Amino acid sequence: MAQIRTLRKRMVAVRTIQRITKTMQMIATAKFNQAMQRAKASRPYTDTMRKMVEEVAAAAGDVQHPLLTPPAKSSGRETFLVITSDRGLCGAYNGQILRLAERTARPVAVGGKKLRLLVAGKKGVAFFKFAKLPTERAFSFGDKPKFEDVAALAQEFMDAYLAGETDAVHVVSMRFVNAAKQVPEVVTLLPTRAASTSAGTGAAAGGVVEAMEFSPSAQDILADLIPRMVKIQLFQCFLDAAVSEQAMRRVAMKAATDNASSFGRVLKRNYNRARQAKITTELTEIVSGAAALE
Amino acid sequence: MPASFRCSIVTPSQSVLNTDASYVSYEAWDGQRGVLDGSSASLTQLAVGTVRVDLAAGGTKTYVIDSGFAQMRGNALTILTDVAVDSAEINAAAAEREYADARARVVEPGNVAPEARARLERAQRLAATKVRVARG
Repeated sequence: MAQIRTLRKRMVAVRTIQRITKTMQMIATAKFNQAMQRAKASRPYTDTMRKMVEEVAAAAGDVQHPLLTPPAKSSGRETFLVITSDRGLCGAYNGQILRLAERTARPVAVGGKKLRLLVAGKKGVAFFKFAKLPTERAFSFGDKPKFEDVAALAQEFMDAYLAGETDAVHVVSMRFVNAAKQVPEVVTLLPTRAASTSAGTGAAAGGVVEAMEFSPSAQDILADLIPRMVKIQLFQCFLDAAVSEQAMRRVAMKAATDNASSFGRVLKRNYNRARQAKITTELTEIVSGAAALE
Repeated sequence: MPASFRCSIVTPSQSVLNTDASYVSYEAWDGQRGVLDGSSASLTQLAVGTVRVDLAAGGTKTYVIDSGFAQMRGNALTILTDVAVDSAEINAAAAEREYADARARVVEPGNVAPEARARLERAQRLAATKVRVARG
């Protein structure tokens, strides 16, 4: 009897967990779709910006910009921005990012350089406290990062870089490839390769390049385009991270729901067996009792 | 129907406008410019100001933008900017408040770094443009 009661309690608990994980899966799906819409909405800007940089860089020829070249005098400092989530239950999302961040950042600190560690998300803050890597600043942009906030952060990085306070700025975050694949990666935000890598690709593509009038000169436009490219690159990192988090949470919650479902079936079978065994025992006792009375 | 071309205004968060236009005027870095159907290919740096779009289907739309770029190519005009606010959505009282805040930050002692000062002055110009548009 005791076993039946225990099994019934466990069945109720598993059913409750299943309901919770199912709900979390549905919420993650809805949030994933919203985050995906936001990421898609920023794509025309990014694509147009990239094409503009290519064209202007091709027209400007030898591109010279302080954000494109490493600083002449090393400051002995490198900045790392690690983008994690505020909440857990999203599978290996935080684990993958934080392992990569530690693997990349620790050698910098050990190698004698000073590490400026900035962390977005509560999970990252807790991890680096445990790993004894001091965090300079922690913040959160939530599920819906705003361009103004991210642009202000990018501007801070650029100001620090131009002032010679840091040799490089790296961003460790999750890149969204598709709904089934997300990859943790380190992106070097500064010095940026926005124009240097794309310069000449327009001509390389072999297409007929339409003669374009630049106002002011191509060099002046490029000087304004590059900081904007850095801002949108950082914004894309945050958007990708938001989409990836929800995608991974959806998968994790689906797996948890499926596990709860199969475990519930096992418990139900065990419960039925125990119940049947109890009935059989009772019947046997009744039959034996009746036989004893004859 | 007058000759038209494609006009789109794009910000990092969304595509604000994508429509056929008969005429578009905007404030470039060196003054006001206008674009008509068949204009030659160009890439122009924009200043803080307004973009007026005369729709091919009739009517006019005005946006306040925070600098950016205007690219005319293949009879399509693309305006790339960080902020584009539809004039119909500007609240006069909120714009006045924003202008007062921006002005206070500009005159605040301590903001002496040239880049920081330029950013504050740009924010002030943007707020002033909103006030001007809101007042009509």
